[in-house]
Parts: sequence; structure tokens; C-alpha cells
Amino acid sequence: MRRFFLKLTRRRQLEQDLEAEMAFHREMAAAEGNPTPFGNPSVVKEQALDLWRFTSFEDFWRDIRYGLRSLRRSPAFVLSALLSLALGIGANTAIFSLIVEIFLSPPSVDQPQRVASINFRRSSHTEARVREAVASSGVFADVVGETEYPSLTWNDGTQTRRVVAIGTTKNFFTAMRIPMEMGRGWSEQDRDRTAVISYRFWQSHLNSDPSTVGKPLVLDGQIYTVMGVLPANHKTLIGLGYSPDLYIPVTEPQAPLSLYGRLRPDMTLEGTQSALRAVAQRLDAEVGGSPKLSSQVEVQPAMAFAHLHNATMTIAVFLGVLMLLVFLVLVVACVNLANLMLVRNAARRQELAIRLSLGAARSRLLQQLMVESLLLSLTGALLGFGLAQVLAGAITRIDLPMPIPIHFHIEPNWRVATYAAALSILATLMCGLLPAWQSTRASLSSHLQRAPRQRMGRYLVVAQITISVVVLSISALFLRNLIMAANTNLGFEMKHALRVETHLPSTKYNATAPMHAYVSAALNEMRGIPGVESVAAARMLPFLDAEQNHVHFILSGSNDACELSVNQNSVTPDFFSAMRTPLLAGRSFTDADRTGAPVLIANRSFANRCLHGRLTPGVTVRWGEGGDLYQIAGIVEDTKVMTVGEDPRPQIYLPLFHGTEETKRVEFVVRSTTPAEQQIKAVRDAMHRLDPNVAVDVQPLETSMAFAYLPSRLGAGLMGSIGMLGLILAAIGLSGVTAYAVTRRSREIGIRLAIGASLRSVVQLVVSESVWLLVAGSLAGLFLALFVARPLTMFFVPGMSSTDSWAFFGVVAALFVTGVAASVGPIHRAVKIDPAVSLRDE
Amino acid sequence: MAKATTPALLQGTLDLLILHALQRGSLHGYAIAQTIHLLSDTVLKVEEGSLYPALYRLELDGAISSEWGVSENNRKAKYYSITKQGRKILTQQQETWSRLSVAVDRVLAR
Repeated sequence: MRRFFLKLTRRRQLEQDLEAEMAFHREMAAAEGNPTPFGNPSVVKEQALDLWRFTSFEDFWRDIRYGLRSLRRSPAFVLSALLSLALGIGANTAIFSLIVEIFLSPPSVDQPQRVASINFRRSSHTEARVREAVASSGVFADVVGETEYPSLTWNDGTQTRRVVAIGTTKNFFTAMRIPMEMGRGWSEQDRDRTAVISYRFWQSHLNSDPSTVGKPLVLDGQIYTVMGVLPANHKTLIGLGYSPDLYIPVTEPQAPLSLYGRLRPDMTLEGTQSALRAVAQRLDAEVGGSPKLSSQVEVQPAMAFAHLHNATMTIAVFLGVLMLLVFLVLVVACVNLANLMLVRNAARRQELAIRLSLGAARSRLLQQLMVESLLLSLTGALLGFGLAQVLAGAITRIDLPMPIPIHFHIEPNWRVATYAAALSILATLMCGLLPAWQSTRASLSSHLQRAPRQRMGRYLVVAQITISVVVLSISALFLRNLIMAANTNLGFEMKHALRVETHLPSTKYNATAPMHAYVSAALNEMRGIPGVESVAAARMLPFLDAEQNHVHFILSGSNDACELSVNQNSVTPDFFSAMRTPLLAGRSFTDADRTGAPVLIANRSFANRCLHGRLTPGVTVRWGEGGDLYQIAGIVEDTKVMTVGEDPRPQIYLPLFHGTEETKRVEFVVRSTTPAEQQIKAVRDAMHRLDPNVAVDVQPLETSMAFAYLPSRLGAGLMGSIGMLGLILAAIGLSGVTAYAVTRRSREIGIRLAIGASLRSVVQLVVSESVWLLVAGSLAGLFLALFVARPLTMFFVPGMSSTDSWAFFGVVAALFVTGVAASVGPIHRAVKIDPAVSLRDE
Repeated sequence: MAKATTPALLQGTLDLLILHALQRGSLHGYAIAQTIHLLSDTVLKVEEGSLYPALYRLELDGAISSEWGVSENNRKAKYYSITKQGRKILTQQQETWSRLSVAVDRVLAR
């Protein structure tokens, strides 16, 4: 420390001092007959003063100024370097911020690390009695519960529409201490009919009315009072971008809820878990029941990544693949840059060689060369970070065509900034170290005038082509998958059909009879619209919702039992004709089936599993041990249920509103002879006439199911654009190397031309080199891609193979075309070389 | 000049000699070199090329301090004097040196 200040304060004066001191010494020595006591005075001076300098820092600063000066002299190089780095780092940072947003963002509660989700028996919801026992046990400081209300209706005075709400216990806002934009959350003292609305809902549906708080909101025919507005960046405890329109209190005391608890200040997660297990054991002893509560007790941090299950796991793996690809693109960009650097450094060969031979340390030269790449990648990272914010902003604004409200709110944060900074350092090393090492070594090995063969440059290009082939192959596979997905037979037709989603307010429609009456009236009403061919209703439509049950069927007559997981739906008689799902055998439902003897309709997969593949209707099955007898009235073709890519699932259909079946949400399918869009208005008007209090949403079936193709579209879109980026970078690299090769061989080409070589042979000379690089890189890349692509099958529709020859062929073709196109410019220059000029050049 | 009779200074001994020379009072650079030369019965000759770097290093280490003064022949000269810290270093180095030289003698005597 003392030395530091001493250096700072006295450094300046020291140089003059030394000068004077040495002059005095010289004089004294001269008087004694020794006129040159110092030998080389500047060496002495340097040595004496060296210690007093901040040597490394001052050298570094000098290198930076030198680097900036030399970069300013080659704007084209800087531009292409910055462009590729900004794109590479930008794409990486954007994907990373998406991952942070989805999996690493804590929910908007106070001290999120002290909030945990509570699960028993692997089920998401917990019944009321257990909730009360957990809350009163004192294991947690606070226990809150919430449940989703996916089909609430909201009447804005003129129109009824569906809103998505989360219902919570009364202590939710006070216990979780959720930050608010305006107003406040409710507490135990507030009355039941209160609501807290999301920023998005407030903006898009209430026109950002500043006096919203205190105003009424008609939900399911009841008047609620708005108590507060949530901030724009509010994140639910559910996470994964799930964004409900509003929160309302849960009023049914017996409703099963998802539980979350705030840990007591003196407790760890593990301690809480074992305390909770003790509570569960006590409850098991008191009440009994199977499976036991204590068989599985989980207390997990309330972060999305902590409870990854199958569906979210796929998203995680997909993002992982995406991350890998963008990283490879960055590597390509760096290799590109390394190549350009190598060429640049080669031009400075002589300067470096002279400095080395004069005794400059190699480490000093390395540092100087690395500073240049550091400058580039820091600027590139800065640009890339900006680019990532723009990209992330675009992602935030995308309205994903999803049946559940998913919105992302991505803000720049320290994690993302750190990531970008780390990437820039990595990029510096990747693009700077190798060329700097190579150039300083080449110089050492004596070549003061002659160019060493640039073998390194070629290796780099081959590496670059290899990586590009991997990236391109993966994106090509996703593109092929999109095409395959679009051609997949769904088991029903989406064209020329409308989907009418209705949500019935619970005040008026509280039993089977009024619900059935409404649906019958709606079917009649819509059948009357000109152009409508058939109309049907169902509890669920494929892709949009599904109910999967584990059931046990016993074939009557034999004792054949069949245990399977089956997809279950309830539909009206015309459902199969309206959906264009082929009836393979037997009959569809009739109106009488709803109240008559129990019947069901099965699909082909069900017949394969339970009826030994015989498509014979009329068989009677017993549903469960000691259950009701059902006759299989008909057998229909398999349809996709949840995803385009899934394997056929066993399905059974029951008549809609059989027995005492109730559903708040009813889906209608309107098949017409004309394009579906023309019927939208007529259908909406008809439904509004029938009951304006029902929330009605009318869309072409294709539009509403667009999200089913989202994975393949997203995959193709994202991977495709990354692949494109890779291709562009590969083209830049190839053209740079060819250009350099031409410059390096200009003398040779000049001589060849001078002694009468034909243009064709010169072109051949240059092209053959590019082609060899392409062939080597492509072969290596294809080999690697075959391995890398293998696990991707999980994202693909059936029939799409990870070794799809079209995709790989396409990639190689695209690369060759690009490669050859990239070398056209340099070749053009090569053949225009004037022998006289090029010979004089050296 | 009979170079062969002037043994090269052992690495690290220059600091010791400078500090020792300064023990009796402040001296300027030239006088330090002369003092060492004379005290060694003109056997040791301090290379000026290494004297000044050594002085600057010692000053940075805080072993000596410097001050501008007037020399015996009325010239401006920089005088160095030993500090408290320098005396401590000197005792240490002296000990190390005597142990080393005794050890070397011992080896050569056998």
C-alpha cells in the first residue's frame, strides 16, 4: 500500500532526479579519469525506474491504445467481427434470459427462497382437512392454498368473455406479501367478493383506468370489487410464465387446493419436511385412508425448476438443445474471427519478428495481440447484450397461441449480464489465443521475410464447416419435422370448421338439466345458420384439453380383464360427423343414449388393446370391479389427443350429459361447406341471442389448435434461424479464407498466367482448395450430426427419423452452394491479377 | 584494467554493502561506490550500472531515504541515508551473510 502511494506521488519527479544524479556521478568519475562509468545510460535509467512504474498496467493501457489505432485502420474487419460476435453473443444471451425467466425466476413474493410448495402423494392439490391440519400444526409460519379457475366468465356490460383466474385462501396476500402496483391484496377481514387483477388485464380490458380500485367487476354473474392491481412483472407461484387475468378468494371451504408454505425463520427445508411427515403420520393414524398421506411428503422450493415433470422436462430439454445450438453458433463466429485474426496477424509477421529478435518477451506480444480480441469481444458483447434485450422484448410481446395464458416478462438482470460478460471473455480466448499463439511462434522460427504456410487457417475453416454442418443438420431436421407434422393424419379435419368455446356462469347453470337445455338450444340455433353442415358439442376437444383415466374393464361373457390408461370424453351424437372422424363399425350415439342404458364408443386403439383387435360393436364391458355394464355401440378411428407427435391412445366416448354429468365449459364444433371464417359472425350473434351471459369465444378450429403445431413451428422457426445464422457465418469464413489464399498465391498465379496457363486451370486451382475444405468439413460434420441428432427424436412426430436423408442431403447441398458462391469473389479477383503487378508486389 | 583481480559481486550482496556503507552517515551515489571500493581495499568495484537500480529499489522498499544536498565540491547531489527499516534489514542480511561465508569456508577447508 505504502509502495503504491509512494509510486503515485514521486514517480514524476524521479526521472529528472535520476538524470541529475547520473550527471553528477559522471562528473565525479570524469575527475578521477573514468569518463564513461555507465556503459549504456538509458539501460541504467530504464532499470532504475522500472520498479517505480505500474508496469503491467501502463503496458496494458498502451496496448489498448495501440489496438484501437490498428483496428481503426481496418473497418471492414472490425465490422464483420463485431457483427458475428454481436449475433453470436446476442442469440446466446437471449436464449439464456428466456431460460432464466422460465426456470430460474422466483415468484413475486417476499423472500421467495423461504416459500415452499407442499405436496402429498404426488398430487398437486390437497384436500381441505389436510390443509387445515397442516396450517394448525405450526410447522410453517403460514400456509396458503390456491387453485385454478380456468373458466370464469366476465361480463363487461355489453359482452361476456372468459377469464382465467386463480382462487386463493384469504391469507394469501398477507402471508406471501405480494408487491402491488395499485391498491392492496385482500386480507382475512375483507369480504368474499373481491378481486385482484393483473397488469395485463388492467391494460387490455380496463384501458389502464387509474381509478379501477374500488370499482365492481361482474364475474359469473356476481359482483366483485377490485381491490388491487398487480405489477407488470408479477410472477405466480406456479411459475413457467403462467399469467392469470385475476385472483379471487376461494369461497368453497371444501375445495382441494395446491398448498404453499412460508418456512418458519428457525427451520430449514429438510427440518420442515420431516416435521410435516410427522404431521402426516398423525393424520394417517387418525383418519386412515389409502394411499397413506405419509407415503410421500414433499416440501420443495417454489421455483419452477424444482418441480420439473414430464411436460416441463420436454421444454427444458428443448431449451437445452437450443442453448447448445446457439453456443455452437458462437463457436462458429469465434472460429471465423480467429481466422480473420490469423490473416491479420500474418500481415504483421515482420513487425512481430523484429520485435521478438530485439528481445521483446513473447508474453508481451501475446498480450498485445490478445488485447485486440478483447476489445472486439467486449464491444461485441455490449452490442449482443443490447440485441438480446431487443430479442427478449420481442419474445415478451409474442402472444403464444396457447389454451392457457402464458406470458413472459423478460427484464435485463444481473444473471444475464454476467452471462454475457462471461461469454465475451470466452470469445476472447476462443478467437484470440490460438491466432496470437500461432503468429508469435511463427515469428520466432526465424522467417523474417517468407510467409509460413497457413495450415492453421485451413484447420479452422474445416472446424467451422464441421460445426456449421452440425448446426444446420439439426435445424434442417426440425424444418423437415414441421413439414411432416403438417402432413400428419390427426383423425379429424381442422379445415372448414369453427370451434365455439362456451363457459356457463355457475349462478344460472348449476345442474345437468339447464346445461343440457342450453346445449340443445345452441345446437338447434347454429344448425339454422346457412352454410352450416353439422354441429356437435363435446366436453373437450383434442389438443385443447384432455382427461386421462386409469381404468379397468372386464369383458362380459369371458373373464378377460383389460387395464389401461384411457382418454375419456363426452360428446353429442353428431360429434364424429362434425369432426370428420371415420366411424369404423357400429353406430354413433343417439339422443336416447343420454338417458338410456349405458353405452360408450371406443376407438381403434381401444379395440386393439381390449377387444383383441376385433372391430365388432355390441360387446358389453363392465367398467371396473362391480361397476356398471356398458355396451360398446360403435368403434371410431383414432384421433390425436394431446400432441401431434403422440402415439395412438385408447379413447372412449360417452354421451354428453349422461347421468348427472356437469360441465361448466362446453365446446362446439361447427362444420360448414364454405370457409369457416364466413360463419364466425353469424355464430357469435346466434349464441349471444341465446344467452348473453354465457362467455362465447368463436374461432376457426385451425386457429384455436395452432398451438398443437407450436412445438414443431417453434422448433423449426428457432432452429431454422439459428441454422441460417450458422450458414451465413460459414460463408463469411469460407470467403475470407479463399480471399486470403488467393492473395497469398497471387505471385504463383501471376507466374502461371505469365507462362500461359489458361484461366480455367487457375480457377480450378483456387476452387479445388475450397472444395477440399468443404468435403473434409462436411464429412466430419455429418458424422458428428448423426450422433448429436439421435436424442432429438423425442421432439419429432412419428415417422420422422433423426437420420432423415433429405435433411442431411439438403444441408450438404446448401453448404456447397454457399461455399462455392463465397469463393466467386476471390476467384474473380484471382483471374484478373496482372502478372506484372503481382510479380513486382513481393 | 586488471579485470581478473576484481571479483564479481555476489548476487544480493550489493544491498548489504550499500546499507553498510550508509551506516556511518548519509552519502551520495558516487561516494557510496567509492566507500565500498576503499573499504574493500580496492578489491571490490561497484558497477555504476547496478548501483543506481539498487538504490532506487532500496528506496522503494523503504530501506533508505534520499534528500538533495550540496556536495563537498559545491554541487547539487542526492544524499542517501539509512532508515530504521534499513537497519533492521542490514542486521538480517549481515547474519545471513556471515552464516553463508562461514559455511563456504568450512566446505573449502575440507
